[in-house]
Amino acid sequence: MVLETKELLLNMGPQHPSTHGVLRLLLYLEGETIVNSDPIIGYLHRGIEKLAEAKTYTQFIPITDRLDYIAAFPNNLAYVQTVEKLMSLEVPLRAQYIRVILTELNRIASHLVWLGTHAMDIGAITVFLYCFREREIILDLFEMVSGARMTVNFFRFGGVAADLPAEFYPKVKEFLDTFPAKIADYEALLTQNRIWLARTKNVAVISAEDGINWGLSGPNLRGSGIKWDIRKANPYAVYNKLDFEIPTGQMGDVYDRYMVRMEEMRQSTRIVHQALAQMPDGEIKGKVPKIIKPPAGEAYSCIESPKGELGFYIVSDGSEKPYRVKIRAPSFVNLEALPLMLKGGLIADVIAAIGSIDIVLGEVDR
Amino acid sequence: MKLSDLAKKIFLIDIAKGLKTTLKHLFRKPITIQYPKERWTPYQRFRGLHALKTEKNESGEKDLCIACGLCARSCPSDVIEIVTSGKGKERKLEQYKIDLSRCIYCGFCVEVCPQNALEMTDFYELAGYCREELIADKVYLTTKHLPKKYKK
Amino acid sequence: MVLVKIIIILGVILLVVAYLTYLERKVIAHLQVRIGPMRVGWHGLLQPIADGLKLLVKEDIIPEKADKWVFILSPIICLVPAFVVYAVIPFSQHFYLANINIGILYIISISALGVYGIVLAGWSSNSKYALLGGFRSAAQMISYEIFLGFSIIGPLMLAGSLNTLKIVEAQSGVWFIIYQPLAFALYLIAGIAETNRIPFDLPEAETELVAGFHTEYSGMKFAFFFLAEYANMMVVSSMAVILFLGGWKGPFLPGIVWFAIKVGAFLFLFIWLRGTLPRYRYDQLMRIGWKIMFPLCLLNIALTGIIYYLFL
Repeated sequence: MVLETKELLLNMGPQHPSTHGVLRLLLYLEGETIVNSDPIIGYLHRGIEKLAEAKTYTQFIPITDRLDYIAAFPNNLAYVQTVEKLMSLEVPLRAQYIRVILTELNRIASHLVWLGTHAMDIGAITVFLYCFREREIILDLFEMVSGARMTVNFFRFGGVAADLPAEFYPKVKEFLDTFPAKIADYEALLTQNRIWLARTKNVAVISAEDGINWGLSGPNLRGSGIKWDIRKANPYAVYNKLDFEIPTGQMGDVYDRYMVRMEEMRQSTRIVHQALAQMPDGEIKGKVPKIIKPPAGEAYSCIESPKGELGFYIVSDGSEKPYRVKIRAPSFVNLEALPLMLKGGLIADVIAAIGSIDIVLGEVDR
Repeated sequence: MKLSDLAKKIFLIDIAKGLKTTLKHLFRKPITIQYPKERWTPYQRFRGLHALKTEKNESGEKDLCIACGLCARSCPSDVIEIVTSGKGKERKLEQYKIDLSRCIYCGFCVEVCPQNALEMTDFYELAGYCREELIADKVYLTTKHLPKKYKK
Repeated sequence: MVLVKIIIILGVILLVVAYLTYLERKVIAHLQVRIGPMRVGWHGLLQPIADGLKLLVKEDIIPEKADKWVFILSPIICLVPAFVVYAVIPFSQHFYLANINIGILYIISISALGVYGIVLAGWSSNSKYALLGGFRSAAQMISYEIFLGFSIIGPLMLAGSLNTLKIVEAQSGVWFIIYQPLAFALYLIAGIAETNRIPFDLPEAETELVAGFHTEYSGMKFAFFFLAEYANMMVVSSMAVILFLGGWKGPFLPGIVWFAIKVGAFLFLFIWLRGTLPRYRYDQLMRIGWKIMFPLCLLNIALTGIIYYLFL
């Protein structure tokens, strides 16, 4: 007698400890091996793109905070920058530096959340608390500057809402000085740990070619060995005046993506150091008309957000409200490559893969 | 593989390193605060509950607000409702309501106010038992909202 | 007299197990620069009792599609062996329940029964997560049971007895950990795997399988699994103390205190490891077991035999 076998369909999420919010995955299993998988999204859909059409240009800024809610400054920056392009506004140098400092700090904060949750998914619970300890300091800085810890709503067309307060500088210096030692702590717990290596090396591999074909961006693409960073490739703000490296991996596995992000945190620290030293005095907001009414036309501009290429495409019909806003959310595009990474892996690898592509469902579903 | 690497592997040096790191933290001072007992003070710019400012003069307290309605128009969530009486110079604020359950605390209302009549306080404990409780009217916004002392 | 002893031991073990959860929460909290429970009693000291009461009065849910009788039985199958093994553990020279000649064999065979509870719990829940957890557990516990058995053959050869008292007496001069470091390391790894603790906590791996085999359990039945896990942790620690660290032996302090200190050190190690390490993957766990641990166990037995034959 031949025993018949059947595929096991396992529904993972939207309520599951490690699907990072409300991602739902359908896993087709053969034992514990994954034959196929199917991400299902939309549980956090708030219609943000449509919402933009009902708000004025300014009113949409606080709503961009809620896209990738753990990295609000880059969202602000990408949107504000696109509208500035549409209106050809000048941004004073000091405002540009403030934007870079805050965005890079936010990159560190975002990567800390990624590291903490990723490590916790794989079982190392302590790293999570250590990461959040440092993130708390950054959020304190954000509160000091903008008045809110996560939904910052700080960048404005032509500049920023307010200058950095005087108490900001010593605090940020202190943070930057102590942070490298903290990264060493995380690395002591993970980088050489044999269990961590066993769980991440050669897991959820995506080749450079596949990465490009699936439109990956950010650390996920760099982990596969492609040196593509919009801060270098198409510099915005004042990134061309700053000296930093773009880390890349070789294999495109979970471990390489981990190493890329760890190095990015160090590079961001370097950038903030330099930006603080170079920052000139002066205006924080350029000449901006009272009522924001961009001329009819369209514009696209993108930035390197912690997750990858975050772009806004705005069509203006010359009125106070945008005609159409399309958001190129990096998490959404990165998530599409997940089934490819998962094929042939085990259930435990699903967790490692989801953690390593660093998605935020607020941005995926919008 | 080098001999030293092999030795490191056999004697679990990588794991010992992690254990050392966690042990080091065992004797550090905890960083958490015991929330209702201990409180953290928000920074100056913190965006908490709104407050309508008043001015004291000989005829008692007077609103700084001139009921121009800019705040209501700038609000992305459309939560501010203003009731006025009189026309032109006589225009007076009768009622000012903010629906806190829908407010996103973006601070635009404060930013556009030409009279600096509206500000955001550091009061952040805004939970309520019903929706009606969360609609802040003029009295609610003008009287100071100090946090109630926590009692066990 | 024996009945009084049983009641004392059972009561103390239950209390210690309850406070072990408290200890775990506190130690892990401090490893993570937190404080841990603080509200119930002074520094949260009454927390385990509050938790126990909560679990006792909680609604006990049995899923509609579950195999009802097996579902109810499996936590009991899990819990009872975990407590029965304490019968042969000598807490001090004079304080023990039974002194039987096959003490160690008794512990190994009885504690092996616990796996049935876990497998049956996974099966009877009729849930996919629980089922996967049960499968993992069956594979893991059966294979690690073997290494656990093999790793203690070394010290048993040196002691020349399966009687727990005699084993401790054999360590009057030198503890067996000096003669048998490899066996000790192997025993420790197998013991951690046996009790489903990080880095081998695959059956309940909460970030993968939600809660593994006890996903569908609630209330007191859930508490039974919980108690069984912690009681097993103590059994494994006590075994390690008896076999490798000279049981109750130690200078100045009375035997029972020494025993408690040694067991406590092991429990701290368990918790400390949990606060530090990530989790292995299922296939890696099996590979380590069969390809590394198993040959090493055999090697240790062979070496011990040869040295014993030649020099002693």
